Amino acid sequence: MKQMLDNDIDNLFKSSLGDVEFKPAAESWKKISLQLQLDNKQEKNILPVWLAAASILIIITLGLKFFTPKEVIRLTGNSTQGFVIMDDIRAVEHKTNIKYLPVEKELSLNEIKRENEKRFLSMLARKGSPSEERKITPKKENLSRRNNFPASFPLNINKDTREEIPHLQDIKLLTITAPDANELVLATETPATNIPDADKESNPSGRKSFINSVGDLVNFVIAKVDGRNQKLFHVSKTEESDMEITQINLGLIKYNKN
Amino acid sequence: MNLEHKYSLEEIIKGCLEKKARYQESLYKLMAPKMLGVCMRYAKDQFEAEDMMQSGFVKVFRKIEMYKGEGSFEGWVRRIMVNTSIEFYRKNLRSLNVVDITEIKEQEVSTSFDMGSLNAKDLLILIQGLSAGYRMVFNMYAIEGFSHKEIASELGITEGASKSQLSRARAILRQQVLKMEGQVYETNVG
Repeated sequence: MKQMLDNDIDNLFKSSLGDVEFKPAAESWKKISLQLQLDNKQEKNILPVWLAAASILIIITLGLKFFTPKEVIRLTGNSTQGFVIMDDIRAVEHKTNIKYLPVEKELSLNEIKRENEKRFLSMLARKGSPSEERKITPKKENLSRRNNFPASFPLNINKDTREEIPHLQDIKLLTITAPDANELVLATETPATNIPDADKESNPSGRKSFINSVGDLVNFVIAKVDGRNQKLFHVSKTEESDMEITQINLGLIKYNKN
Repeated sequence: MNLEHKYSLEEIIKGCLEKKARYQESLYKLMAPKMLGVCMRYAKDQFEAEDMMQSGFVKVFRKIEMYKGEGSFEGWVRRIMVNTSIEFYRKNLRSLNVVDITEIKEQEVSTSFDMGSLNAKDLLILIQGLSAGYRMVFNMYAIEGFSHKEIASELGITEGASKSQLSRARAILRQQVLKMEGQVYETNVG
């Protein structure tokens, strides 16, 4: 006989019922077995669905891999493209009487490019203003294979070339663009100092202007906002910096670096 | 003469992993009495205990590949049975009389009794007579060895509620045991 503490109650039940065993009802296993059979049937039903889905996926993948027509997108030229480009450019030559390509020999794309640069620069040197912009509209049928024409390529003028050709001292960048439409535009860009006024005044007909840098963009915006001849400020590309303020107009206070 | 082939536990587990029915039945026959004993403590009667046990065995056979050999297999199966019982409780939860711990006064323990005179069946009747919440907490704490924190987490109650229910369950069981002990004593004397 002893006092009944909390632990005594716990121990009494734990020792008596902790490992107690009872005989289960006879039908218990049948119910469990039935449930397991249902599980197996569901698994078997799901398996063909997965197999079918996997097969379809494989067929589609193989179909896409082997039976899709190949569309070649050529970003760089080769000898074949060279001929195509030559055809197109000759069409332009015929239209404009400006000779871009030699006819004596077959040229690679790089050779064509270099040759075009040379010819175009000499044409500019001969004909006058570097800001001249030519708009050439060749016939559509002459550019039937236009899709093979390289999108655009810059025409870089090195320092030596500039020195050799007096008119080109002020030329910064020359771009030959072959748009998707029916126009082939040859454009030159004059130094940035002339851009603001040129946009508004010398370009009243709404012809295209080119914004090649952040400075150009700033100048463009200032030109739109400020209607004066001398704008609030003007950004130019100098030898010291790509984006330097070369002109300020605060009314009474004016500054012009040039 | 018993012609039934007896498998070792390893063979049974391997056969169950391959989902072979005869091994599954062997496992059931080996462990069903013990597991029914576990479920009987958590259930309010034998029918509910049978349901718990069947559901628990189905889980054992479905998830047997999750047993990695750490600890005893019987302990793993037992834990599944306890978890199944907890699930049953949570599904059937209607209203639980939560008694705040502050309302429970420490009861004077001055009564004496002879613990040897009650059998397991009597004690099982006492446990099954508790309300579901008290029964769960008492089983989990006193017999399975859960902490109040674990009980609170499993049953979705606070630790305070777990403590208060345990205290109340003990008080009820103590009273019932003494009452039953007195009846046994009077029967023996009479």
